[in-house]
Amino acid sequence: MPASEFDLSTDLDTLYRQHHGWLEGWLRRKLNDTFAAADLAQDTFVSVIHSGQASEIREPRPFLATIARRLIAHRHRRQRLEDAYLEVLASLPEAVYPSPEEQLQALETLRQIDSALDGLPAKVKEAFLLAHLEELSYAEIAERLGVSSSSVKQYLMRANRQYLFALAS
Amino acid sequence: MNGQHSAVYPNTPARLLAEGQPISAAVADQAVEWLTLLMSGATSAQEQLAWQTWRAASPEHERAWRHIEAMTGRLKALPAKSAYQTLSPYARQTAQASRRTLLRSLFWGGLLAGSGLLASRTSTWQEQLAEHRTGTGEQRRVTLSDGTRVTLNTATALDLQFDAHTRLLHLRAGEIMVVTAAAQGLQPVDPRPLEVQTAQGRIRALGTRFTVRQDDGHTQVAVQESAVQLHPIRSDRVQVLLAGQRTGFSRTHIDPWADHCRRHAPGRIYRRA
Repeated sequence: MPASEFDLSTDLDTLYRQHHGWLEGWLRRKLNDTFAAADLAQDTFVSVIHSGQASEIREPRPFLATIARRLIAHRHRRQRLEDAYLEVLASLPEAVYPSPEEQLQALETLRQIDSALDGLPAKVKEAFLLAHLEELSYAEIAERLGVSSSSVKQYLMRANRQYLFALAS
Repeated sequence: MNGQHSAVYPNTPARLLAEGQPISAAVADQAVEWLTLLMSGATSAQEQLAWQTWRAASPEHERAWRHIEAMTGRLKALPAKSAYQTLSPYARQTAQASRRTLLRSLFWGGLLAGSGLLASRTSTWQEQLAEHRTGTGEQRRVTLSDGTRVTLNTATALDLQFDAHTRLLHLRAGEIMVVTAAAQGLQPVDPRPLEVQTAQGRIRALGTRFTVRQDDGHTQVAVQESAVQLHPIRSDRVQVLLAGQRTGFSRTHIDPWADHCRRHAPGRIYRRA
């Protein structure tokens, strides 16, 4: 509807004009990095646009700060994953070293999987990875994790469901 | 983009999707239960039949299952060892403590991938459930409903997906040799394209005799007669491989030493044979 789109853009416009400067300053103090702060402030508003919740915000600054904090966490998570992947790559023998494109491709898929499994308890996530990537039997996974086979099955039900039906593909 | 925003808004109610279409929570749960059961590798023939029945019971079930195959296929297409080491909450601590073990296992992983010795690893649930299978050291010849002859080499798993539009041979593991009905001179020629799907991409038969081998992270193709068209999943490039030629491809790349093939057939578009 044109009317609601108009309302939304007005809300966003107001939100942006009144709070963008504050948010960027807040991020700059928090991160001690001008460029990262500008980036994250921008990402925060992009998130608000995507959420379609701009018109429902009661307390804009705490709201924006919450989103910004989650984006920071998200960014750290990505960075950690990338570091982990680089570390694994560094230990590969040259003969099996993937091409730059294969690396990018793998990293992107790894990110999707990592984000799909986000929030699962460590053992549940581990069971999922051992079953799908290491292709261990449930008995072997149970032994590795020090739990019963029926727990392994429970873990996999939970992780499979989250991986299969919570990931935006 | 989506992943990022759903991560930032964890409370947004998630719509359950399979192949871009919504599916009910009940069907999603059933599909997950089947997967978890089948993955255990300890299913009886009766359970497998029950799974087939469930799958065929409604288009929504079938769609949920195809979604599962696509999503688990994504996991399978990753280099397993590196992916596990990167994602595991435990592996890296252990890895740092015992880098030697890690190096050794990666070394062996690489060696096995290179030598095609992977047949000796444990087979996956996809392989165990495949319609046509051979054990280690076994070979078998199958004639398909369209007259195509397929020889399964040792430790091979093959699924068939024939419908109104396509004839798809899904190679889960191992190696097959395909002789199309056209190549045997059989008439009439089936108008549906004949394709082999591996973890890395598709190979389309252009009236022919050829072999396809699924290695770890890599597909090998050799053509004995006429030609095939190669299409890695993550590449816009399509390459025609002619009789007497062989090459391999990953999800993104066709092996560069086969580049000369393209010059023989620049931009030619082959219709089905």
